[in-house]
This record gives sequence, structure tokens and C-alpha cells, in this order.
Amino acid sequence: MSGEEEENAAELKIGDEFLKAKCLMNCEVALILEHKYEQLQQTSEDPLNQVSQVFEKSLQYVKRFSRYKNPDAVRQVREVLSRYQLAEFELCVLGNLCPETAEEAMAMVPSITTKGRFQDDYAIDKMLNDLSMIKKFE
Amino acid sequence: MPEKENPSVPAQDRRERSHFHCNTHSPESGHPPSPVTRPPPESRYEMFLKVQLPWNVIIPAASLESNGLMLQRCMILRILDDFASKKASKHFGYYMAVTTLDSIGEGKVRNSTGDVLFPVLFSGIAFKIFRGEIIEGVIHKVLKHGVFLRCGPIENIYLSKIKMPDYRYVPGEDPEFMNDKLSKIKKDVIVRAIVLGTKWLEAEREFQALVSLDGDYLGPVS
Repeated sequence: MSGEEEENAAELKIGDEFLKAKCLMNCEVALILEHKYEQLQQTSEDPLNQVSQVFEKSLQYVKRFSRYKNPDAVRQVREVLSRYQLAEFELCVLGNLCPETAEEAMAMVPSITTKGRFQDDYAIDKMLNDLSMIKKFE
Repeated sequence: MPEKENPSVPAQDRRERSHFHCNTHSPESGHPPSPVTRPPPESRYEMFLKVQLPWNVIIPAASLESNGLMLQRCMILRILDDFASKKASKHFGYYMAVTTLDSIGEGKVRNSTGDVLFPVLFSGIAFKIFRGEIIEGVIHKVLKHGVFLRCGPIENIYLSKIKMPDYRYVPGEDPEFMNDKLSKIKKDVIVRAIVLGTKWLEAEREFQALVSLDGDYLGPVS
């Protein structure tokens, strides 16, 4: 456990390997899993048998926790967020939790203020505003 | 809608059915003892993450046909089955879904049985939570000393009474926790919390986590 004691997502201390990881937002996972489930229903005589409990629970979870349902909106969210030099992990937390204010965003992702990526709260607000626009026009 | 267990999903009994695990003890195979001992450097994790896994698939001699398509189909079915039955690993977290079969290595015939073992590489989605991360979960059990949350495939996420100091336990038929502002924490409520620590249980192949409401913008979400 010694190595893992150091790990702390709040400070973005999760190891280099992890920072470069390809992370997925809940809404993206929902799309993939739903597609997967449909595929199984078509190809397998017994789709339920091909689905694990982990799959089942996760599908329920991401369906409930997806802020964006429309595939185009999901794509736009990633596009908008990826303009801001965020780490994959930060991007997904923001996309999952959809904070409403800059203050909330900084509470959810404390590392967001590091590396001079956002000049001030206003810059963060602008990003959040872009996100809420996607939701509005979904 | 509250989440319900689907009784018709026979998830556990599939764990035993898999023949896959036998090969991990096989003395003659020169492959890694466990299917995920050497994760490639590019595969990493997050809450939900895309991973690439090396895996050994055993195709019984009976399913070997000259038709390549059938072989591939058999292989995919076997991977899906193995993937589901393996459930989780400490390194990657929960295995959720296979997305693509990336490459199939050269098959090796196993002397004892005539089965063929193929080393394959495939991509999938995994789920893992981290200390310091902020998660949203659904409460599924309320106890006197705290509540249990469900987040993705993880059922046992504990939020202790001590970690939500302004909430008081309100006993009753449908027990709940409530604070002075009448904000309620009870069954089926969504709570946003910060992860204090996680633990991997080898025997159950499951993760547990402790969470806290101590922080800004944490608590029940409407």
C-alpha cells in the first residue's frame, strides 16, 4: 500500500501514468454501454447471460448520472472542455459534476487553479457557461 | 427511478463456468501466470477509463474449425465470458465492457488437452475510484452510525456519521439523517462526497471506500 498512500486526486497526485490516461465521462460511458447492450441483444440468443453484474450496475449508474444524453451534446462537452488544457481526469470530473460556479468548480477540482491555466474566476465561469449552453440546446 | 437488482441476471454463477482460470496454473504455458500481470504502459485508469489488456484465451479443440470467422467469434465470446467472470482487479478496478479485440497472437497447442491458447490484446472500459476524488453516489442503506452508497459497480461506499457532523440520525420506519437546514440524507438520495480512502478485497474481488461530506459543495444533490 505504501505507494498508494501518496495518491491524492485533490492535488492531482495520481502518478504520471494516470494523468495521461484516457478517461471517460459518465455520459460517454453510458453511450458505449447502451450500444454494447443493444448489440448483445441482437447477436446473442441470451443477452442477459453475456452481461455481468458489474456491467448491469454500471449501466444503471451512468444512466442516472449522465448530465448529457444526446450523443452530439456529449461530443461537444468533450470538445469544449478540451480547449482548456485540462488533464483527462480534471476534464471528466468537470463533465460529470457540471459545477455551476467557479467557486464550486474549484472545490470539486482543486488542481484546476494550478499551472496558470485560468487567469481568474471569470475564465472558469466562461468555461462553465459554455457547458451549460450545451445542456440548454441539447 | 431507484435502482433495483435484476434477479434475472445470473452474474455469479457464470464465474464458476469459465474454464479460463484453469490455464493460470498451467505449468507448461510460458505465459504470465495471471491474465493481467503486465499492463502495458499506455493503459491507465480513472473513474471510467479506457484500458488495453493482454489476455490469454483458451479455445477448446472442439471449437476449432477451419473457418476463421467462427474462431474469432468463439474467441470473442470467450473473452466476454472471462471478462465478466473476472469482475475486477486491484490495478485496473472493475472490468466493465470489452470494446474491441485489437490483436490476436500466435496460438499454441497445449499438449495435455489439445486446446489452443491464444495471447490476445483487447480494449475495454474499467472503473476505479481514487482518494481525494469527488464522487456522486446513491444511498441504499441507512444505519444508525452512517449510510452506504452505491457508485457505479461499487456497492460498499461508507459515509460515517462522524464524517457528516451537522447531520443527526432520525430513527423511524424509513430512517434518515437530517441537518438544521432540513437537508435530508436517506435511501435513494444522491450524495456528493469526497473519497477518503479505498480498499481492495482480494477474496471478494471488490473495492470498498470511505467517503466524507467534509468540504465545500458536498452533500445531498437534488
